[in-house]
Amino acid sequence: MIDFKKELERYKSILDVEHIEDKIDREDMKDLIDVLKEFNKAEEKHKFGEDQ
Amino acid sequence: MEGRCPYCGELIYERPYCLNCKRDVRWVQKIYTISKAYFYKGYQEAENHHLTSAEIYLKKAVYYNKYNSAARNLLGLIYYESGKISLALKEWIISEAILKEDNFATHYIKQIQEQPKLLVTAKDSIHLYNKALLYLQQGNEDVAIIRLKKAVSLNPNLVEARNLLALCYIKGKQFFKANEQIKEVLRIDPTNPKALTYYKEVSKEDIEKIMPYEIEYVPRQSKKQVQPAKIINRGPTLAKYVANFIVGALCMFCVQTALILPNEIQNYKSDLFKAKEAEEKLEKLLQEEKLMNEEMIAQLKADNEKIMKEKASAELNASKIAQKTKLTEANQYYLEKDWIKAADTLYNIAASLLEEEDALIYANLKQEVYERAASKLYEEGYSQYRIKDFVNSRVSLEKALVYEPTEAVLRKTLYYLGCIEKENANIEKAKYYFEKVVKEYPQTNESSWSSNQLNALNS
Repeated sequence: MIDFKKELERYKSILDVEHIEDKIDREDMKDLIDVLKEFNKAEEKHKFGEDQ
Repeated sequence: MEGRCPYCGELIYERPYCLNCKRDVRWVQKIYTISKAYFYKGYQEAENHHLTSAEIYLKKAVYYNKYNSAARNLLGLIYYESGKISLALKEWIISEAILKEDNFATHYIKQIQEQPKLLVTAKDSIHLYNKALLYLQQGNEDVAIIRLKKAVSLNPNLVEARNLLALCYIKGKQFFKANEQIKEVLRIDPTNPKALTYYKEVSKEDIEKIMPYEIEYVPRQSKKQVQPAKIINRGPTLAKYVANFIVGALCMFCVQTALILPNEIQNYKSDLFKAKEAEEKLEKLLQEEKLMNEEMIAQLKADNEKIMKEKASAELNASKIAQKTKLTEANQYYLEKDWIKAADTLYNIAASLLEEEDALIYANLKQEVYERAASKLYEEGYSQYRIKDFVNSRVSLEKALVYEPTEAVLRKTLYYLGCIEKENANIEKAKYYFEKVVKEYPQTNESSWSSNQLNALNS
């Protein structure tokens, strides 16, 4: 038997048609390479902090 | 498919390194290959109208390469097909921002902009769905169902609204109505997981048996079949878009293979040839430079050797001249009968540097001068001893020893040197001189004087 409340949680509101361009954030433009680059940057920063 | 260097942002196409920053981008190409694989998989699913599966694969393709505009455009089409026009527009806008030329997204956006009614309908249906979701969260199911029904009537492809409506019907045990919505969703997207779950759930129920609260609904349907005013079959449109996309991709591939690649290969070959030529030239120049340097070093070494020899020869000549000058000087002192100065000068001459003739003069002068100089020095020393000028006396007597004095002069000189040492309280040195006289010149006056002196010193 379907648990209505739990099932309802699976539904999310859909992006409104108005001002779509304003709702495009950085996450939408990010790919794995960007993530790796950020991770690399963070690691370098961490290393620099350790050295100091 | 486009790809950009993560270090400098330059287009890299399928090269293993970036032409701009020269860095290795093979790892990027590997990631892009994965993106391509997901795109093809998504494309296959889209062909079979498996929208949810296609969406999953295409999202991954975009995640692996945000510049994969083909995947992004197809993802937009999938959203469009499932009624989420806003999400479709979003993907196409991003796609257009990333790739400005020859992008299908521009065409899709233009098409939607040309149908303002479609946009209004989409906007309203999404608004109704969002509102209905809010009502359901607040427990207001009846109002939600009204909103959802309206949303579905405005945008029949909005699968999320249909699914939610089906869920509401299931909750209200209106399985007949739920089944209707589920079937419609599965017709649009046969892989829709929510619809499949509901279908499974509803299948358990005996939906053939009309429940009392559905009776009103069923006869009305049986009396008059409700038909939508216009059946919008988006299959052909999607197929057209996909076909357009494939033709475009094939054209790009042909252009790449037939025009760009050969030209690039030719450029690489030309660059390689030029680089090799430059390397050979450089090698040749280096070899020549090396040879020149070696020759120069050999020449410099020879010159240096010659100069050193000339220097040594000049020094020798200068020394010989100096010796000859000293000999002339000594001869002058000899003629002036200044025996001591003559002896001093002769003593400072390096005989080995004299020529044969001069060496002979040197030997004769030495024979003539040394003895006389020794006698003169002894006399001076003795006179100074007598007036107790022991310092100067010792200098004169020691100098006399140097100029090979006669035996008589030598004995006396040694004796008086002993006396001076005695006066200066240098007992050991005094004893040395006296013992030498006693030992080397026995039976002489100096020997008996020395003996007496020794006795006195030993007592």
